[in-house]
Amino acid sequence: MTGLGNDWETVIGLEIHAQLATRSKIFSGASTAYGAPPNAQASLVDLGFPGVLPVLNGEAVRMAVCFGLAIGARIARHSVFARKNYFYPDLPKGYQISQYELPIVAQGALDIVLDDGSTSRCTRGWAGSRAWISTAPARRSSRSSRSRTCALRRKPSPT
Amino acid sequence: MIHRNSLTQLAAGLRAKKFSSVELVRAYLERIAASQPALNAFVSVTGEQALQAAAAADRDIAAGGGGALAGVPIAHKDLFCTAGVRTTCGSRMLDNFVSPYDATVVAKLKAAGAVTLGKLNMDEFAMGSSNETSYFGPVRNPWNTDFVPGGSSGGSAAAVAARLVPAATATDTGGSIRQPAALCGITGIKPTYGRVSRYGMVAFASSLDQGGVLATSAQDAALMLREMAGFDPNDSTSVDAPVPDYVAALDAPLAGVKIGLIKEFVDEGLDRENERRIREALGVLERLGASLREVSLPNLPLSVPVYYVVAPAECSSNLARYDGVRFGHRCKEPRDLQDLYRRSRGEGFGAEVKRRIMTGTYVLSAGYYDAYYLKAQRVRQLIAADFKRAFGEVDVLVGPTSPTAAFRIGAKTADPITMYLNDIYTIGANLAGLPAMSVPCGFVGGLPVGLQIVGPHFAEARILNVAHRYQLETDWHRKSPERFA
Amino acid sequence: MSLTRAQIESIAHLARLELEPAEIPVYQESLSRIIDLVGQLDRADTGGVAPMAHPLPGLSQRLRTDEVTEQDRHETYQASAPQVAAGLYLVPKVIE
Repeated sequence: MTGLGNDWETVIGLEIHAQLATRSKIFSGASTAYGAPPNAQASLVDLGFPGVLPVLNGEAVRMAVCFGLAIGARIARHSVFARKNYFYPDLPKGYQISQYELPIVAQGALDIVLDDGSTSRCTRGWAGSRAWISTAPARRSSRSSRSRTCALRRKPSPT
Repeated sequence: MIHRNSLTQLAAGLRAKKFSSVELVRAYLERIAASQPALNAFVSVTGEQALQAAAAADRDIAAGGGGALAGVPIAHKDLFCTAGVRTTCGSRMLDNFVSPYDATVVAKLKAAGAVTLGKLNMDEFAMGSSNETSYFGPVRNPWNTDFVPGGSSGGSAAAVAARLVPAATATDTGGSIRQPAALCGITGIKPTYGRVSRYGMVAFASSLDQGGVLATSAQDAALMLREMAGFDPNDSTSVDAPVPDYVAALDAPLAGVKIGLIKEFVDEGLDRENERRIREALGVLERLGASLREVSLPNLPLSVPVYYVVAPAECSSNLARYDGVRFGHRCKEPRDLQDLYRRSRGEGFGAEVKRRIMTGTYVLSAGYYDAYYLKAQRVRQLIAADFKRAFGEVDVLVGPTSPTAAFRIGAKTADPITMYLNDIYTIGANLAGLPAMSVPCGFVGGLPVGLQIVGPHFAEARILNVAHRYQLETDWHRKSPERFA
Repeated sequence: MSLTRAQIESIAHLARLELEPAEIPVYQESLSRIIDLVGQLDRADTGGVAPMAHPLPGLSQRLRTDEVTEQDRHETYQASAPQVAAGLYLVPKVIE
């Protein structure tokens, strides 16, 4: 866009969450099936009852690695989960178990074909897999302050 | 006088049908009721359920079955979730909380046939060294009720010392099994990190907490621990390794065992009379064939500062779930969501818990995380390395459990730091995840003191063996307070 | 090192703990003393030392098989709840 003598380039970042198609949840054996009544699929672990502990779903890890390989990402040999602490009614433990400094999947790129037929390369910043390997509450969360944006830049068109 | 029997004797006596579980349970329930005004060891007494379970145990035994602890009465620290029974963690926050599930430790002991008599008082959310922070009032030391029993497992220790139960479960994050054991003249063991499942053991500091036993002897502790320990798929930090038969391993002679006295533990903080009892105990071990030397763990004096970063940090996160939404205390008529959180938590938690949550919040906050939390974790690594090096030279490490014997109720509540320093000798084993015990080794001013025995990872059998051989030579562990004899 | 009143209030807010005004100086004092105590950590030379998050070396995260092992027990679990309706936990309206 132009104006006031400056040419501005619009850059739109997309924070993309994808849900892994596991049968059970990432940290508990509760079902992930869609459409159940409220809290019918919330186990004691999901509800953060006193004394409960999370156990990581191996299939979630496998799927994350598959995705990472598909987008040519770097798969970390050593990966760490951290707690992001905040208070919200749909966050039972008062923290989210997420990946922060050492995610399972990092970098990688996805090519997207645009309407005009040109291709844009969408590159991921670090911590890209956090959206999957996390206990983000069911409702869509956009409160993350981490920038995991995917910026679409049009390749310069030949003139 | 049935309460004069050890856990081991009771288990054998039940199996031999010398007495029934129902008789035992009735006898102990009477003792508990009589002791409550003086000791306040119990938060909940589950008399009805206990009698039913006892009757069932008697039937099992009659049919030739029943587990290793069939019909034996025990009690659980109120930090362990017990299905259908109040689990308060010594806090107003969970005053009305009835757990929908059993902790793994509770389930395992039930499966072994033990009969639960009730839930034991404790410092609130396991934070304390004197059992003075409980919402349900302080627990008193059976040796002298003007004195503290130690904490946080004060109720468990007082109950065992007063022979209200032959053994009790307890937990240890910075010394909460060993220090009350020392102050109450009984035997306590904190196992290796990961040896006993933490599922259902309400979390205080996840990388330090361990469940263990308070009993009147190493032999009894070995029996309880053998039934409690083991891999649990519900606990990711639970170690998948077989549990040795700790009872079978008790009797090995001590000839050739190398014992290291931790040099840094014999410091100005240690009461001189206490030190004398420790040295006398070490003399006994030498007579039994062990060789004694001094070892230095130079970073160990930093245990307390490391702990008071790591434990509050972890607790501030673990206690965030207490928000008045799904269980526990909720304030009346919350104005809005923030008011719900602030007042439910402000009312539900006592001062010490709030202090530690705030300390933890501070050290984890942006700008301080590296300087405090990461720094503490690095020093923790140094302390663990000191222990590892020491175990290259010796088989077990020994020292005092606590700098002094029990102190008067109210004597140390004015200054948290003074209270924190009670844990100066015990914290190191939690930081390094090592198994550690306290055994009674004498008296100072009429009050018991304890000898601490620390082993390398998964050396529970070794430290129980050293403790047991010591107890075959001495009778400190057989002494009980006059008032509850 | 002394923590200010404002710092205590900020920490209490992060931790969602309501403090009485009279309590604030008490926590100021004790937290300041605790921070002084932990200041002793500066004495340790930790150059090149890795932070220890877990006391047992060499273990890695165990993985669970992806299978549904839980059933709907919301009535049991909600028996402890302060306020529920139609299976939902009730909280004051969240106004954003």
